[in-house]
Amino acid sequence: MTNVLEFWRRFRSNRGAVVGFGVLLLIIMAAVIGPFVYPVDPFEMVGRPNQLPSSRFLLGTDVSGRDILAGLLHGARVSLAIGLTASVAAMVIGLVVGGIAGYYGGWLDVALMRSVDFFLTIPSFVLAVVIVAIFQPPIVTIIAAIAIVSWPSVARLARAEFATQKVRDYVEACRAMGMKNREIMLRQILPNALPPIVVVSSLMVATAILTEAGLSFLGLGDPNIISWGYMIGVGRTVLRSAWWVSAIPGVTILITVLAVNLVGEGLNEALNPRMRQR
Amino acid sequence: MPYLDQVVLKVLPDGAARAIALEKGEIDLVPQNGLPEAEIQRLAQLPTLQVSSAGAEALGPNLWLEVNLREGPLADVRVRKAISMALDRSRIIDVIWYGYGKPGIGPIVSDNANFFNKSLKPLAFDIEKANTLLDEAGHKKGADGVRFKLTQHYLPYGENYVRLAEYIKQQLNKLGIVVETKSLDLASWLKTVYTDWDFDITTTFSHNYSDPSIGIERTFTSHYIKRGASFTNSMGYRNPRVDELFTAARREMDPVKRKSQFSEIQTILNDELPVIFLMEMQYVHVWNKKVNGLIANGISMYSNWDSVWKSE
Amino acid sequence: MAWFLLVRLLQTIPVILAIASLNFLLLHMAPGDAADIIVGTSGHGSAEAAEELRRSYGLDKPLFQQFFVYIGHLLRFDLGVSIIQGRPVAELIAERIGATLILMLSSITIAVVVGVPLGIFASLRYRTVTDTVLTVLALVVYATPQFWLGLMLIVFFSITLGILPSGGMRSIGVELDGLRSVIDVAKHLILPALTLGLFYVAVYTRLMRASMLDVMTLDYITTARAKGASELRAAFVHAARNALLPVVTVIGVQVGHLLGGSILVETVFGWPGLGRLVLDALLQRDLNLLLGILFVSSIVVVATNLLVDVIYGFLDPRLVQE
Repeated sequence: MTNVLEFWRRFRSNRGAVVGFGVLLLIIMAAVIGPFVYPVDPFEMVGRPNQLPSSRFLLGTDVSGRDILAGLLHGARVSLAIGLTASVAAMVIGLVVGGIAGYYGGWLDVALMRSVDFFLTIPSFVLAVVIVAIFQPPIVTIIAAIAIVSWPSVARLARAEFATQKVRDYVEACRAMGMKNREIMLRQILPNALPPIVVVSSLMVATAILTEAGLSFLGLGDPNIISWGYMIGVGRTVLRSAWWVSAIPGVTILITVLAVNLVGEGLNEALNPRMRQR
Repeated sequence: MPYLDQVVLKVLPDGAARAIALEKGEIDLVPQNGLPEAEIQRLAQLPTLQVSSAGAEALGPNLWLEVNLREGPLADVRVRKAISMALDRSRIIDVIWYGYGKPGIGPIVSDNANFFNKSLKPLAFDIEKANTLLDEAGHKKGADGVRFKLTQHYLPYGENYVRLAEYIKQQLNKLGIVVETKSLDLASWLKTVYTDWDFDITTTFSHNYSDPSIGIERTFTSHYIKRGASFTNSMGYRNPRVDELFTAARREMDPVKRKSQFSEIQTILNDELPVIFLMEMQYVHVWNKKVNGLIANGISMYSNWDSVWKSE
Repeated sequence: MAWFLLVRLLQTIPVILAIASLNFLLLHMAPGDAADIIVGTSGHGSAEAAEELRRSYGLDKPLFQQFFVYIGHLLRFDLGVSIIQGRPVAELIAERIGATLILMLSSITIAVVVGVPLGIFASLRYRTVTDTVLTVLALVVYATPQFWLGLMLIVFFSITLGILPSGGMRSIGVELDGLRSVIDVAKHLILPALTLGLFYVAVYTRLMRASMLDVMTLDYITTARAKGASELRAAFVHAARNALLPVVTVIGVQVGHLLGGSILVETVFGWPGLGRLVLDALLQRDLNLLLGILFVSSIVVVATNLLVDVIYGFLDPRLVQE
């Protein structure tokens, strides 16, 4: 219990992280209950196209006359869902691969880490584009593509963590007691290795959101859902006359990603007390 | 003649870039919908530029929804009629194509004075009637309001078709038809529609050209049901009478008889709706007023431009 | 040192081959191929015609046979011919690579030249308003989607102010040469380079600031401070050089990131580089072209990483002993 309080105290001392956390909560709330409170179909042509924000349409309408605010609310669900799912998937894969490599060492380590290095050499967004363009959206492909390009960094970190922990006294003691390898890895090392990995994964959410936005903007997204990146792409043809159609969803992405980054940094400071006080 | 000394063809991949180049006088002509419609509207206001949709009458681009007639609910003409009634043509033209188009009525465009059947009556936009028709066809709404599901593909030729697909999905939703849109690149789309026949509905357009034997015959005769032959009869439409009429029309020398043959074809196609006619497209050209004589015939932009000249 | 280089060089070969294999595999998993496109868009195609084309391009052979042909060509640096465009892949890449390299180099330059001093500056003004402002700005830029930033820059500088071109690499319809041509390209370069570079300005600012702060708390700095001004300056220079090490590593990472980012930025600005070519090639299933580009870009990334390792080795000789 003291651990949790201690964590909260440290987190709270970082003003940026607290602000980010607040904003993130707002966005999550908007995503969850927004479409209920404002039940406008984001795909429906509800008015004349390319209208400025007004009392009727709080954020205006896009090229097809759709309500931009409705689009934002639904897009929030998409961006957050994709961001979270892809990051969790990447984290799990990375943990498994890196953990095994770090713990067992030897040729398994070399083999696994070579494949990680290999992945890291391919520019991640290019690989994501290739995967999505080949296998075509739906949303699962996009999540898979983002997870595939993200897991290597987690694996690197996990390997380092597990390798360092493996030689610690408490692990030696467990082994002497006859504990099975898997139990050592899961019950003993994992809780200690988790903090930096959680931090990296939380920052990955931000990258995932940006990657999804980029893919949708290029037209590689799922056409059955509205996402923020897609909305920016839609507004591109009317940049001259209705710049807000692209501007508004972009600002939303900016704020969300910023909030996630701030929270990630707060988590970093709170979970890694070895960081010197600045 | 020719008056021009030189014609320079510049390849600019981006529509907005073309608009700016035209505006600044860096290029003189952007033919055949080379500009995004939003830009055309804006450029039409400029005193130095000329906008025109003339000079393409012999092309007659016709936008429609090809329907896979082989199985499922779409094999029933009432379902196809209901779908047609759910789509507001004027909305599509105004919002997506900025007014550059006319409602589609039949396989031959209304501009084609020689062959267009003036007695054709399109179905009116009526969501309620469409819903009733679907009830009659035996596709009742389930507890969740859904009658059946469809997959939609679209011609990957640009943003407008994406918008159109979105609109169609929205409208069909109001009929209780749940549409899943599949987004494919050109290679995959061609393969899926014209080789695999693995689709329910897809937007596409076809050139009438000046004579239906060249233009629409390849879409509506059973002879053209061939795997791998793109932009032909993907629907699997077979009507012996239509086949008969097309074959006869190919050899018919009497223009009056020929016209009545095509009129009958149009009436049948309008009744049976193997494709759902959406819009007669317009090819819009924008050029610098210094250039003259571009509109010479029905295929002006493909023509030889021997009478084109440019003032200082 | 030479030995170290040789070892690293040899290590890259299997990596490049592995990348090439992966690309090949991935692209062949795609439905439809170039023959479909060529036949399909010709207007009067048929399944037989597509098969004919496939035969003539060797696309109908079993997969691993095609693969070995491909690897064989690669080892001879023969990138093949683009099926869709009908020209040698190497030629197509050579046409466009210059544009992408100019873009990448300018954005790296902007990033380093602006970001590093800003970071040092922020660290010196630690805990003042300036520092906070800079840190917040860096965070905001870091969170901005690059393609959106590009669009907004176009709206502001090109549409509203009208002082910069909105796209392309050169002005159309005018033949310029010599200095005027260079200036023309430079004008077109500003917005895309800024779009790509700003993100890394933010990264380097934060990185330099952090590593400067790290280094400045070390004992030798405090001692130097006690000893007087000239000692302090020397120590400061020493500190900055040490703080640059992580930046050098990140430059290596930036190159990979830039290749990905260039797809988006080149699309937004209509910049005639490899990024756009990748997307076009992908959508047209131009396999040879795509594989060629991916191959070339992996070489670039690997080469850059190698270069970074060498530079790092010079700066920090301890590393070489590994």
